[in-house]
Amino acid sequence: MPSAYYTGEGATATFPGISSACARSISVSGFSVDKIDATCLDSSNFKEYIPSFLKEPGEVSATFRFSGTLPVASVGDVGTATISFGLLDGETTAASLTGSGFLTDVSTSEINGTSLVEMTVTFAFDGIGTEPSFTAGS
Amino acid sequence: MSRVELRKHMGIGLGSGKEHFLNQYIVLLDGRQVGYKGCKHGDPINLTSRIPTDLVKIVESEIDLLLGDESKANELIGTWSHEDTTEVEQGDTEDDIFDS
Repeated sequence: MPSAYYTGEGATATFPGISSACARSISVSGFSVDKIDATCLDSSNFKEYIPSFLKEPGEVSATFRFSGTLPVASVGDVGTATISFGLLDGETTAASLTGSGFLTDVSTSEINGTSLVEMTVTFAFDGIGTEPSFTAGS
Repeated sequence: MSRVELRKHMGIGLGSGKEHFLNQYIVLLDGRQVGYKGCKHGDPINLTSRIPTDLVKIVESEIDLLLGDESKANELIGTWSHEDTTEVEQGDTEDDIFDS
């Protein structure tokens, strides 16, 4: 039985035009859905809400060690992002989050001679092609 | 006997809740995941593990045999020199202080 403590060790992120670079941090924005106020005049105690029928597919952003190239040509191009959470002890395949979308932003950190130069990319799931999908580690 | 196995990467859609194929394979070397490979001809092999160059070559050649394309692996960049298993001589680079 694999231990279930994910620390980010071994995690990787691939985006269109950025394959297997050295990720230093990865963040996944929450998937969300709007709430619709459905309160009636005769409601009591609380306002009443129903979920919107469409969900927000969210974004993924990652910071990499700058490798000397910027994938600016990939900004706006539709492709697939895969976040691999790394292998836990006893696992042979990693948990992952995969979906289609496009890079919305590529930027570098300040270049100042005293700290590591990093590249940050933001990828938006498009909700059109491959929907954001989760695969459990096994 | 092949050391590389391609397994369909399946996932549960966070919107639909249904399991579906994610248009890429999970690449396993000796039964353990080392990367992903897109289904389209020529899609790169995206490594998720730091494996030595000789094993990368094995992965590339066996995927070529399995799929018939000539995809190359995108190696994980950023390997520090003290992680470089191909380096055989001590003191041959300025940063060999990390090797000692």
